Amino acid sequence: MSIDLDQFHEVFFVESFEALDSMESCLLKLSPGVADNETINTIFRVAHSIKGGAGMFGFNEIASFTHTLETLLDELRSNRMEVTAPICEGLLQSVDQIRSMMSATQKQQPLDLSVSQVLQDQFKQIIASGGRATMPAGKPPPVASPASASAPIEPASAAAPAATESGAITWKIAFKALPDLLNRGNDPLRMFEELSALGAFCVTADVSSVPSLETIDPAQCYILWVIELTTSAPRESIDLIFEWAEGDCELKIERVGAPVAVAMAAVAVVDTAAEPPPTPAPAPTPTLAPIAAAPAPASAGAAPAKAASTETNSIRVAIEKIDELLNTVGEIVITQSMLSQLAAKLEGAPAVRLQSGLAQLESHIRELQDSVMRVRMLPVGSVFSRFPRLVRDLSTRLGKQIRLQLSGEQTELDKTVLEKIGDPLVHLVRNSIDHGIEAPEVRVAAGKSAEGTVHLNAFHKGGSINIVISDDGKGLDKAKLLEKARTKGLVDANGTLTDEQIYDLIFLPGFSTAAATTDLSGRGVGMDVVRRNIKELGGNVELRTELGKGTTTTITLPLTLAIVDGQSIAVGSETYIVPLVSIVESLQLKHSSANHIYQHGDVFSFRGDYLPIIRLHEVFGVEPRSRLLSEGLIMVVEGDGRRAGIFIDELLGQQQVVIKSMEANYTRIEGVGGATILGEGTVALILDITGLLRMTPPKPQLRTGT
Amino acid sequence: MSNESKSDRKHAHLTLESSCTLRDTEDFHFSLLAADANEKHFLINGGNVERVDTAGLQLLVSFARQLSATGRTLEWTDLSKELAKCAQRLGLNEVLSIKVSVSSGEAS
Repeated sequence: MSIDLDQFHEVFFVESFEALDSMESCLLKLSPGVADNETINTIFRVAHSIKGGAGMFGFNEIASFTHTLETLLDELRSNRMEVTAPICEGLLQSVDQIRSMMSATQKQQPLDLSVSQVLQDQFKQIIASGGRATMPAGKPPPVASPASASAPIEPASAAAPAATESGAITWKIAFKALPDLLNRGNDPLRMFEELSALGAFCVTADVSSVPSLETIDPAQCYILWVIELTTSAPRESIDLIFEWAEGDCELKIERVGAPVAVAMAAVAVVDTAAEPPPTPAPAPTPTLAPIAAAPAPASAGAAPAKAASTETNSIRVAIEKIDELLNTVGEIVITQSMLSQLAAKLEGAPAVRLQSGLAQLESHIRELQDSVMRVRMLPVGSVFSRFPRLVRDLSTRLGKQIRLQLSGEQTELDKTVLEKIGDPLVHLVRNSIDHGIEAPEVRVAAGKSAEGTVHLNAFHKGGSINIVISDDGKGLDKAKLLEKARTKGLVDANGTLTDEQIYDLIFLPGFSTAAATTDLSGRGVGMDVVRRNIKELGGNVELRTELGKGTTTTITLPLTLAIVDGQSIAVGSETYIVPLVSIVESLQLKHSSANHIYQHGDVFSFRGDYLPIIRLHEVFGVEPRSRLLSEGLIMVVEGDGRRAGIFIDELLGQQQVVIKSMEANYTRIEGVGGATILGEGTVALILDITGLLRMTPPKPQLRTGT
Repeated sequence: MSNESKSDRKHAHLTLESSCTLRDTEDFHFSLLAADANEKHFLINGGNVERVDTAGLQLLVSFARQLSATGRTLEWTDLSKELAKCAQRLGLNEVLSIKVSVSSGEAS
């Protein structure tokens, strides 16, 4: 029977990408000339895991490239080679290359092997030269040539090439497969291929147990092998090769004699069903013992991808399953709310007991909801982890000295939010490095240290998460910002703005005060997108800066996208929910406070500015209680850098509601961010303020002169 | 992936597909069972084989032993480098009647 391994590919890719992040993180810790065996071992184990998995799934190019990488890492961890800056750089490039190959394989696209081939050749040269750029005279390459290892050896005539190396040891390896070996993706062929790369390799196969075609189970391995391997590689290298087969084979590895040249037996195949073999060599029937646990490397740095599951006792769950669970819990919350409202109308002793029980139920359900939402929460450190490499590469490229400080990596937020916050953070960090932190000589001239600092910090505050990006660079010039805004016609020439309003200008599309654009930033196509992306997540971004001292950008995000804190409002007989994060304030207009302006509709004065009025009953086709602005309320809302006043009938209560997707259940509607079911069982639409503002004409360029 | 087998005078023929691995064993097994092994001499063409593993080679071993047990011979009309290399790596050259040239490392 054949096994379809395709179903496991996605798990392999997910785990491998995580493992590569871990590998990169460890590589960044390495310092040239410093023997950090624990870190090198961790990197080695990661490469080994990726190689094994790639080989098992038939991703041979990835396995081959990672094998070369592993060989180099083995030299480093055995202290046969020193960590140098070129080696560190090459290893980092290898991480990029493996990522690229994994990504292409995942998308079933052809692989570009040009870079990997160059890197492989460079590594082989480094290995061959013992870490030096040129090939040294007399030093044998640690990796034996496969051609010499595969050629059969005549008895007592030619000695195996590896046997002439000083310190080479001959090992006798007896291998017997157990029933599940092949089904678990382990293949003796691949293992023997790796063994042959260690030194002179001679194999004897016992096929006497192979059944006839009528009775054979193709997924079982009936062949026994005895291998003689002469190698200078340590015993651990042999153990590592069989590590993946641990528990699925019987393996016995024993040292044969002293480390001298050994005359090995000719390759022979024993087949007791056929004619007696022509040579007098006895048929090897090795006594096999169950494989002992493969000895762990000297350091405690086990492969994080393999060790994580046993150390942290966790399992992988598809995000769809969690969303389904969250959805069901949300329904329970709504049902409980409806029952509570019904129970509130009952009277008598049973009603009291019912209400008490429902109150307890509400408490338990809220706990359940919080627990389920926490399942989707992941530490922000997984996003922060990409920045050490980014800062390192950018600072090298720009010739700046930059220290990256990370704090609050364990702060958790929703997985969807986490995935979408990465790009905005990258943009903000790039801005800090490119436009904020000065060149070392400029910093020194300004009385600062040559090395600038970029600090990423995450923490919970109230019901939100704050991510703060700060630098000690040159800051933004307020006067320059205002001048630029006036030049672009974004601000009235005589108008005055508060500091907050001035700093807000950089979030306008096309706004950049950079003297020169680089390919990193400065084209003015960035901060507006950053703010929009964050707003779409229900968050907010603010900037504070001080000329000569630095800039701090604070991003505020909701902890989850599944629920929202909202203000219930009434328009006619309908109830709507406005997310609290979008509300500025609510007010009642005086009779003459509003004006009608041609092509802009109704506007009203609000703190020195004219804001458009959105008549919600007109947007949704609802009959309001009154059409007179003075008889209703104006709720000032903001979104995407704009503000407007929503005309409503009444403010109801504030509540936390479960968001139901309009797109998933009906269709996307402009101005509507979702729906929810209220306690009385009615449906309320959750307003998308940004969408509503996009539907209205832009505010007029007027000033009240205050 | 089934292989054709036909009798041709005194020889039976079998052509191996490009992939003879664990994933292909069901079809491969069937094709070997269906191979006409009544003729005294069996010609096998392995020139197309690009991928092979232990499971695939083991089926060939079972087939070769079956032929040998009934006094029939197996001969390779063509052999890919990959197939030859893998058979050698597992020490199965002799049972599969693959001759290896020591000097060149190539099989025939």
